[in-house]
Amino acid sequence: MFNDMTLISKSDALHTLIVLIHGKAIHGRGIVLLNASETEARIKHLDGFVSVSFFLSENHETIGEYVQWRSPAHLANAFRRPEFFEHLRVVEGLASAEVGFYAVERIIAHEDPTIGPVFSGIVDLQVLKLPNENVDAAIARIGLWAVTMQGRSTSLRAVVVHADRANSKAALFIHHDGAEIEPVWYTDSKMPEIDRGERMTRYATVSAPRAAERPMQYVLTSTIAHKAHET
Amino acid sequence: MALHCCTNLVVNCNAHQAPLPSRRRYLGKSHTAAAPFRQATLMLRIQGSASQFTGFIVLDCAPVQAECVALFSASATENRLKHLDGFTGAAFFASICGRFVLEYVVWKDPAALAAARENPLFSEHMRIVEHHCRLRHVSFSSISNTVGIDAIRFERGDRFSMLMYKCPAAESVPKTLDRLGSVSELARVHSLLQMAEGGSSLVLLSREAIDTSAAPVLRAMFAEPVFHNEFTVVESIAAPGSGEKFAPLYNLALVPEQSPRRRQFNEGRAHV
Repeated sequence: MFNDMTLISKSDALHTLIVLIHGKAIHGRGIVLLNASETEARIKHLDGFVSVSFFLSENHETIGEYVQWRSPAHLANAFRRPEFFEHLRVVEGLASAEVGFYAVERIIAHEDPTIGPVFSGIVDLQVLKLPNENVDAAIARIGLWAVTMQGRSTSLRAVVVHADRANSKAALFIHHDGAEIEPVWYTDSKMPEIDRGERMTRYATVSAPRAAERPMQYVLTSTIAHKAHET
Repeated sequence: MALHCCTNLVVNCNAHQAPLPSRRRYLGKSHTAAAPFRQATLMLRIQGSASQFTGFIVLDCAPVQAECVALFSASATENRLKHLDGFTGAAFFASICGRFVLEYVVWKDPAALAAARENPLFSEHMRIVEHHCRLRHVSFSSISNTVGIDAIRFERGDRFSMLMYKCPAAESVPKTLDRLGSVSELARVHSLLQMAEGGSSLVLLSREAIDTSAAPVLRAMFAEPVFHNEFTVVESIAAPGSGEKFAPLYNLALVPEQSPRRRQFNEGRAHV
């Protein structure tokens, strides 16, 4: 976990999920620990798993997960396994989650970003709804914006543009180096709306296991009613 | 500040001073400073010789499994055990070699720990850990102290050195503690020591490795350490804050075929 790392690269053609979990601050740390523990103990051993990087907002109300699987089929197979979904019942009872399925469309950086032990700074995660009629043009504008921003900023390390063409969505992974950097959100007058933007720091990365590692084996059963946090 | 990079494309560089258009559905709260994951109130800090009951537990895991087991225990503690009465704090470490887990736990007093052990939550989590690891060392004691001016903080990624000694039977506990207090090196490296109630063993946890000046003194007092390793803090859990108490979120159990009785049964069947 401490030495784990992952690469964000267009050429890998991985199935990428960006998950934003929203709940009460009081549960934030417990949820990120539970998800990281479940991933480290069991999920990372499932076939096709590549990595999950966990992020947490300063107020602990939002958890971000940058998830990579080899393919949609691998993820679909994993989803049927109890070691994958048992802890989700707990999280569902405490928080709401937005899940997006993406491909890496473009990386604006000097080199492909590595998320791992030396990864520092802040990540702004932004999800955008694209105009249905011209997704390609919208993505091109985002790329142009990112190139411009990188030229202007001394702290912007990378902008990764993700696209979900089937649902006309984009997600930006905006990595700032340094501590006191103002957010740089993308806006575009041709886009109907921006779904969400979250500012977070990295908690941990879990990547695929080494040969000697074995999964822990146990059963986890939720004791909380679904959406109990809303009552 | 808004920059028009090209037609129809607007860059908002400062979300605080120039609100984005109303079509934005939601943007999370902006932060003007760095957003360190750690909040001081969530991190375990130990200072002095408070009347607490502390435990050191060393687990011997499969190779490269230590971080996994430490994180599992930390998660179970954050989500379940810390809400038990009398829980004061815990820190979970993985050895650099990846084989050993060190758990440092602090309870209000022996009665609080005894009551916690009666709670099924406690045994559920322990049963799974014990299934995957072998217990190498456990010591609980009220004799625990920090050496040095500053509090010892257990922050993720911090490195600690752990030494464990068997103490000479003839030495009294106060005398041994006095002699340890005179080892100035222990203060310099911000040490935490725990001595077994009967004085039979000593655990030393320090931020830096005990160097050559202190090591001969300790060797003269206790002979060679019976266990020595370097650890990294995987996570530390402080007692819950006010209003943070909530019911346990989940139950844990070994999968049925893994229980010792089931395994014995299956092994017995295999020999029939």
